Amino acid sequence: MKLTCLQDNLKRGLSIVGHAVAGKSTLPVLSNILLATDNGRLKLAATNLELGITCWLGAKVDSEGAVTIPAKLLTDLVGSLPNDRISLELEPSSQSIKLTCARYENNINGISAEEFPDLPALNQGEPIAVFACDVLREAIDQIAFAAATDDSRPVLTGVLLRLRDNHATLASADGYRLAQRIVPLATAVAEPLEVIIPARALIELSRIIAGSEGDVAMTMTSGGGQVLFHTEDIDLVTRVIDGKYPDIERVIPQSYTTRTIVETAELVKAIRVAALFANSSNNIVRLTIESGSDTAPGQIHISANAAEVGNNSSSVDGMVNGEGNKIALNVRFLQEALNAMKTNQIAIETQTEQNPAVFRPVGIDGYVHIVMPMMVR
Amino acid sequence: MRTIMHVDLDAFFCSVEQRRNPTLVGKAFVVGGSANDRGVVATASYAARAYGIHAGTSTAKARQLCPDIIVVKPDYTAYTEAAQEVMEVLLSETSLVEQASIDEAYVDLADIEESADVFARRVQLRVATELRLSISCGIAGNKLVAKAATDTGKKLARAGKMPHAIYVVPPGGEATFLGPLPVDTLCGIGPKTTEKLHAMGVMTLGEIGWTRCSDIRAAFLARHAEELIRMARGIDETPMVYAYTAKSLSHMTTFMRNVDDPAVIESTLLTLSYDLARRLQRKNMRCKVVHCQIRWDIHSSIGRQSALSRATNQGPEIYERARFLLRCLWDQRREIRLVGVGVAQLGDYPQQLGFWDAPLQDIATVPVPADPAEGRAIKIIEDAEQYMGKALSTHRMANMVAKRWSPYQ
Repeated sequence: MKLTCLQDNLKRGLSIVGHAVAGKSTLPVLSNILLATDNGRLKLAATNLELGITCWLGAKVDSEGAVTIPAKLLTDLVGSLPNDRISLELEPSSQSIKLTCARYENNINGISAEEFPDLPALNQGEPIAVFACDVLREAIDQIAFAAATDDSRPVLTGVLLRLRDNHATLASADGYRLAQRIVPLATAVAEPLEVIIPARALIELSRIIAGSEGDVAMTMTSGGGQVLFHTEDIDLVTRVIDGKYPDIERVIPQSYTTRTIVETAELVKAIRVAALFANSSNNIVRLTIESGSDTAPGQIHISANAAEVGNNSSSVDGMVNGEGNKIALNVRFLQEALNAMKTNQIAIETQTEQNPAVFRPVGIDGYVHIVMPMMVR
Repeated sequence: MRTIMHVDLDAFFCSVEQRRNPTLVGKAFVVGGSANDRGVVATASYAARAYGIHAGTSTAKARQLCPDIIVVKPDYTAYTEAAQEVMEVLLSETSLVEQASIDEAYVDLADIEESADVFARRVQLRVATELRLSISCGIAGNKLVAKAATDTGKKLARAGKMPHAIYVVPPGGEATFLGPLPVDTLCGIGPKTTEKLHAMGVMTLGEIGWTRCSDIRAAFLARHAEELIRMARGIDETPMVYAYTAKSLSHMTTFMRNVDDPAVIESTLLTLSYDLARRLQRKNMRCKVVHCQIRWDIHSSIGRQSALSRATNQGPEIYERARFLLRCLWDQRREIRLVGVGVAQLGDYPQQLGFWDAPLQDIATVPVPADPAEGRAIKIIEDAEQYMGKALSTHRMANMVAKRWSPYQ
């Protein structure tokens, strides 16, 4: 293998695949990145057997070949080199590469590419679904954070992806909050599909397609055990989570007694201040909603009370439809819900202090965020 | 110089039983598990002790020693309530009270104007008349010697009777008091150390503290030796701990025979988790961490803990996490001798509601076995665990629990 590429390109490629490198593994090759020539491009790949990322970058290939190189050393080295042309040459007998750039010359010992696991590639057939890159990214960013982070209920660490007709539903929940986004598909799916994808994998996907334009094609391996996302120069493959996702329809309230519309930015600011106090008191922030009168607007009173630190209260004007009520929420859940809203105004739908609060962006359909309250004495 | 009074309830469980069933007074009876259930004695009445029956004796053995023995099943709630009544009497005298266990307390007499022995006599009388319970008191300059004084006072009492003892060690007289006493008198010198001391020919605390210090220093590690000498001289600076709040709770079960059946182990885990949930609910607390421990044999055990995503005091949640940890720890190949569940980071946390919560359970609604025989069996396990530090369980019991309630099937 002999090729040249630009330091900047290689650095970007390594940062894309780097997150799939196994941190600690009994298989040494999983701590390495695969470098291979592929149809006139340089292919980089890494996997921890749960998640695999492949990335192709432009290179001038003089001779074909493949090898795996320790990820950390290679990434640190390339990051330190000047922005110049890098030439890579494999020494087949020792499986080491000679990497030269400007006046730097380095030799790195590698492991044979044959030991690197095969990552599934996009089948020749039609993909199951095609998403617009920016739409998929936004949807992931709006929902994936709500997935559970502990492994005791594995399905909740995943995102439910439901494909039906010409739309896709992405939903995640950790038991205390639920985020759901419905996005349109460019073309209708042939048959409905439900799959649970690890939230961590989707967060990676969102990160690595950040600069991409165009479409993301999704397909599944023949056994249905893995799902693959493909863009022009990046592939991400992840295992799917076995199991049945809880019934999310049952969780989404069908009615409300009070609907309050407020300016997102004002509420965000008030909650940020309340959080300074709530952080010292089990994260509780109380919202008291008061309906307006003919002369005064409705309001949300926000308060946080930390016995040892002090207390805070503030209020935000809003359009309150229905009777006043109150609810106590985990301030972190509330902040994350508000951050996921992309509109200037949001609607908060509430019932009693034991029913969940429902957050919706005003003016855009397709997103809903539900947070269960905390019971305070 | 401090003056500390140690208070010990005499034959506590038996006294409570006598109080509500006066026909037991003066009779040889024990509180514990029944003989055919491989039960053990939790407390023996003083009449029963005269037959050589003590806490920890198997009920079957007790019946051999005294064929007419009456076996009373333990009633945990009644004992907790009675202990609370005694604590309230003490607290009405001074706020400087530390409850050391269910039937023991230390009182710092700093706020008491009477002389120590007059105070002790008065408190003893109050408890006897107001609560119809008997206490023994030991008074000394620190907790260590006060406890030894109580024990000495009890031993001096006539066999077969409630001791109702008061023993006062005069200020500065700690060393003189301890000198002639056997080495295992002190709380802190356990069976292993005692055995080692006896092998050296050291029988009394006076020898440890004064005459054979150099032998002690030669035989024990430096820190341990100095500690022993200080203790034997009656020096102890352990502070009083007021308003003690538990940092963690745990329950464990030792199987009669080692077990490799996951169903038995998981159903035991379920019982233990529910016990913990009930205790948390009684204290109005929640936990943020669950711990699971298994022991293969007497020497080797492993444990693992994990933080919950919310604070809880619900049996199903504690059980779910404990079972998850068990499955991480145990490959189902090796036989298990002991399984335990613990909860930590306890506090008065507010309750985060969840979408898929099981209906909330409080003490009143925790499933109670329909068959009273089962209830008794489970109660005995609980009580034995609480009071003896080790529990006895049988496969049969574990299976009964599994059949009774299984949330995830």
